[in-house]
Amino acid sequence: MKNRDSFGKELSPKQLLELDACTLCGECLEFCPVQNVTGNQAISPPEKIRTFREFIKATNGLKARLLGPEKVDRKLLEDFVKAIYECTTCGACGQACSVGIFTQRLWPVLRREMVRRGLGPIGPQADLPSFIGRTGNPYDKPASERYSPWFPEEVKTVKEADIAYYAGCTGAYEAQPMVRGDVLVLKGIGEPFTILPPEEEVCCGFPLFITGQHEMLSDLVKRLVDAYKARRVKTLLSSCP
Amino acid sequence: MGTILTLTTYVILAALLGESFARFLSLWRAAITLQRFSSFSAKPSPVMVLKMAGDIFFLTRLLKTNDLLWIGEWLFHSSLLLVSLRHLRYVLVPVPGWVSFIQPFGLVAGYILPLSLTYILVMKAGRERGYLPSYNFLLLILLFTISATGLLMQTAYRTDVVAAKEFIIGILAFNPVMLPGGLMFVLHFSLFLLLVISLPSHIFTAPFVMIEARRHEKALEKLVHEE
Repeated sequence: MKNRDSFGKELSPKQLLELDACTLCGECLEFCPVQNVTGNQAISPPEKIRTFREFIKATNGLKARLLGPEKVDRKLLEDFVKAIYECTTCGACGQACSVGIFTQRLWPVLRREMVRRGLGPIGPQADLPSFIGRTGNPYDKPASERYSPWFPEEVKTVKEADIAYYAGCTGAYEAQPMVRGDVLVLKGIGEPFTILPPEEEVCCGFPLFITGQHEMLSDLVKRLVDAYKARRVKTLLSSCP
Repeated sequence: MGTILTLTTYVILAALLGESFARFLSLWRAAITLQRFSSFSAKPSPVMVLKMAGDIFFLTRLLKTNDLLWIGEWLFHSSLLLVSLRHLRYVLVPVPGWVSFIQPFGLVAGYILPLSLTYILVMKAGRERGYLPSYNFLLLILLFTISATGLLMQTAYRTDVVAAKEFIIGILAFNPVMLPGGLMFVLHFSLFLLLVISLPSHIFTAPFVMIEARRHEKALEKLVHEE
């Protein structure tokens, strides 16, 4: 993709306004865990917004509309990609924002723009779609092992119920004491609940969302919603995301 | 000099009008999209409206994160508003009663304005790991210079305010007249024009985002605490 292509395509009108609304006050830096560790202002929330505004201005600004879009410097783009992927997407900056910008949603969308340009994702994140496509989880572990190592034998689930439990990939494969505890609490409550078969309980899409790889998202969500609807679920309990 | 200033004013006012129109269209588009897709459809409660007003007029979000900076920012924003309203007497004929009423308050605000800007600059620059991009720094300096020249015209280098008003009304009525004498007025007016073309975009969009943030927070609350 050419560096002259519009940078605002992936953003909603509200997000474009949010970019404009940032006062660059820098108050969020105090609350950013990445800033606490690195102290590198080049990757701080206001710097990312300022740089992205420059990209939009170069390709969509008044001058660009009158005289044609400018080419954005490749090095600047690469630095921006590094900055945008060093963020934890925790959203602490948005909580401390003096304007109230919903940054937890903004950063993944800026990453999506970088993915659209072939500049993201970075490192092992690029493997996530193929892992999820193959096994239904981002850890690339077999679906058959999703529940077996931790699901308590004494707990019985039903096929259809008002309540369903979604363990999630991280819980099922990486935080098994937590999800085992959740299920035991549900048993203790005594209400019947259902759980999807391991091959149907696929990734919720969160890892793909935060890394800017949004192509599979709607399919994953639809699969889960359809599966829970088929089991007449009204309340979904979840330990992930 | 008068002709150059007059022509520059026309160009800058045209740019401002174009910019404002473009901003209005973006806001309109965002509002329509939100209305169509927002998960939060309930009417804002009176408490929420109060919170929204607090965010916009009292910068309550900033107060929560940095109360010391908030003092300077609130004084700056409110004194700038008062000073701007005070200046309406130069463009309105006849001058409305409320504009006459706020003149003394605007005058006091004229003294607070450079002080608050100095306070903000000191707070920002003196902070360990402080963040002050060059654009914000230049904007603070520009605002300080405008307010300082305004104060100097009020105290040391008095300008003929009647001639100043005739000059501004002349521009607005497309009937330019002589520029009032005094370098200070030329400097003050030129810097004002520079401020108009470098106005930060957040003055148009931040109030909208603040309102939407409250609505969004309420929607999340409802989601988390749904019965």
